[in-house]
Amino acid sequence: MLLHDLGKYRGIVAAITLFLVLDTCVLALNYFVSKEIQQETESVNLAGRQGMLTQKLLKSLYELQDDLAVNLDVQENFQEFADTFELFDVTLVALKEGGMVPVIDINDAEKIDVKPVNSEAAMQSVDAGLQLWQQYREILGPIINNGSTQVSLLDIHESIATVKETNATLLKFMNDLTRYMEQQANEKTQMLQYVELAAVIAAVLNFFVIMFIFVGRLKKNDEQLELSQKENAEILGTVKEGLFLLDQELIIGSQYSQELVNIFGRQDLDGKKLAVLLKDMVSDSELQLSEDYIGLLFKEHVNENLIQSLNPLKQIEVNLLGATGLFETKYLSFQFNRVRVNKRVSHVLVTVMDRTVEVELERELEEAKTKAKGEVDSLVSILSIEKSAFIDFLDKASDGINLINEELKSSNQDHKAYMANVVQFQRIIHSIKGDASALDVSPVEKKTHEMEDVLTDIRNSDEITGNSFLPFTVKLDELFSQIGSLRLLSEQIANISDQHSDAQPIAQSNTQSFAEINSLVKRVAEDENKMVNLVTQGLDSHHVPPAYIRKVREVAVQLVRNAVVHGIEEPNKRVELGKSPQGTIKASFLKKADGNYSLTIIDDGAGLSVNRIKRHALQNDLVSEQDIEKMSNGEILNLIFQPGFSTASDVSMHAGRGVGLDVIKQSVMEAGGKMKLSYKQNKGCRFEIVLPGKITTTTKTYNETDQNIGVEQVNHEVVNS
Amino acid sequence: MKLLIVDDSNIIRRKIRRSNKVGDLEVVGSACNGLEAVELVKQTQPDLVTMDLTMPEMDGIESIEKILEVKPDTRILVVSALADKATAIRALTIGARGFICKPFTEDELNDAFEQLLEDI
Repeated sequence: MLLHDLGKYRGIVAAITLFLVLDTCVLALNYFVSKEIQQETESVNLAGRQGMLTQKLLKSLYELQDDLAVNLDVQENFQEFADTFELFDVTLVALKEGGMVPVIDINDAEKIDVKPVNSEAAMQSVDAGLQLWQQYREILGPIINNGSTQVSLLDIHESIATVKETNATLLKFMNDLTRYMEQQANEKTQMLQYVELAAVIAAVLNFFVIMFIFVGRLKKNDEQLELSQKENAEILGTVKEGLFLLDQELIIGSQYSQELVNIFGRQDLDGKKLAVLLKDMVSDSELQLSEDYIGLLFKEHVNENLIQSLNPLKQIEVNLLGATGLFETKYLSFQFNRVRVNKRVSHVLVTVMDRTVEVELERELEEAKTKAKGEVDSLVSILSIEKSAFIDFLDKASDGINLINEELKSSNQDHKAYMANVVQFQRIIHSIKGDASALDVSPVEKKTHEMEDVLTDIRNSDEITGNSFLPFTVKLDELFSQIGSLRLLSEQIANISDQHSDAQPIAQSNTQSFAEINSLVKRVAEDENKMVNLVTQGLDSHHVPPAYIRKVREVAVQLVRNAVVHGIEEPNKRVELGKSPQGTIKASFLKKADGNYSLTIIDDGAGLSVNRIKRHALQNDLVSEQDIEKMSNGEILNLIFQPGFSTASDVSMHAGRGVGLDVIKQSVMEAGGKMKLSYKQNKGCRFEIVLPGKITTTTKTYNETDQNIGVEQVNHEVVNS
Repeated sequence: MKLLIVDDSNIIRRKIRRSNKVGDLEVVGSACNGLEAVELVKQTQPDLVTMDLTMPEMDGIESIEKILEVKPDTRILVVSALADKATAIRALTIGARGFICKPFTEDELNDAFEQLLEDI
């Protein structure tokens, strides 16, 4: 392993290696020095033995002399003398020049390799010894060479004399040599001790260096680790996205952001499969798709940037348990990114973003756009409507809203009372819708249509409580602000037109009061796929007294609309019946001879069917089966003026919803008027409203019901169309 | 760089052929079904292939498998509608490199080619 591969362990490996090298060096040194000391100790021993050998040489000479004197066999002592001489000689030469020396005696096969002495003092002793020994060689050498048989007492005498004289000096030289050599050996031993001591100190120092540097480094690493963990935790705790890692098995990593916990409302994600997190949020097939998609990110050949559009979890709608303990709808966006380690994809980083606010804002923006468009539409319609008619409409709508509001405030009601409210509200809203439709104020028309839907839902519910009206209240509020902004808009426009064109002809505006009825018929007929021709007479402000303009328009609008929706048949049907495909509605207003006013709406449509009214009344529980059997045709026909009666089989924008004629009845009653209805099946229908010539201001409100409505008895005349 | 365009719609084929980035590439052919595509890969050995997934004769998945058998280093860009994500993911799993969804803008197509050519 190369040193740079060791990374942070490089230092410690280097220190240990240094320690081992140092140790090996010291041991090697120790080995060699010890070996040298051993050799020197042996040399010292040999030098010591030389001292002994000088004595032994003299002693063997004396013994030889004794043997010769008494004529004993000299062989043994001579041999000892010769051996002693030889051993001393070999040893001394070896001490001077180096060489092999027998260990015990001259015949010993075991030999020691003796190095020449190398200290000054020892060399002097060896040289002095050798010089003196030369005399011994000269005297004793020939004797030994001659052998034991030739030895004479005289020779030995002379030898003893010489040896005796110099022996002490030779002994001194040898003793000196021994001492010097001992001294040298001691010095080496001491040096060895110093080296060992130094080695121990170095080892201890090395140990402390290792300890100091590496414990320090370890501590620093630990601190860094702790710091990075802390920073990590801070990041994961603060980041606004849910963050976590997924491995190839799609298992969630041990660290994830706090936001993830907040979003999913669960803590136990560590080590769980992604499926556990997603299974309650997406369908099984979507989950499979998501897992396959993430699988792609682990495939190196796939380009990460080129698969983003396939992400099945780019935006999902989920219902999660919120902090309040209730389920909340959230919009979550999941992003998946590769995490590469050593250029290989090791994990996928998942970023979960709660996009609820953005999505809701987008929706609000969309709504605002629609509203703005509605306002423009309103503006366009306001510009084409006569001001007083529009103000009338706004006043009436405001009155209606206020009335509903008052009713909603009264609490502690039962189902029956609430049901009555619903019916009353339906009437009011329907009436506002009728006006809006006539004036072509489409946003209000749309809103009131929605409100009718809500009311129908309430009406169809098993048990009506105060809470049932909540969705309706919301819509009512929206309608209220719609009316408010329309009023503001009309005032602003009025200001502009006051400033720029104060010379608007009054006559034109008067005829406009009823012009809307024409466009209403056109529009409703278009929506209902019918062909209708409207003929009006006297429906203008020349003929209608100002006090009746609002009422006449209101009634005419509802009746004309009813005629289009319920009366006139579809072109095919009309052709089948032998009529022209285009139906005709006549609306006329005139002052009668008796001073009263008459509004007549005549159509050449289907007329009324008693059986259909019967069936419908029974279906809607307006009467019981028993009662209806006893009722006359007139009484049955009267049922169509009951709140909640409708003959339209499906509910469209224009068709009735159980309100209509009762509203008209109410309106006519308020003015103290009367209503006549006549019809002939498949021929048509005729409504006549008679309003008193003497106009009285009325204080009656929407919710007053008076069963004594002055509806003239129905007859079966052919309608004069 | 040699490009083969595989799509059964000639409008899409023309749109791809006309894009800027493709101007730098050599369009070696265009096929309107899988069988033709595999045949053309054998003949022209393209580096890049744009691949529709729903085609007559042989569908995109099978074509991708065959193309990669013939020339394993072919860079395949799936060009398909988002409606069937599962098939697109399958195409990528078996070896396609990227995906863009129909309808695409010229910029999206140019970006996709740039991404595909990144490490060549």
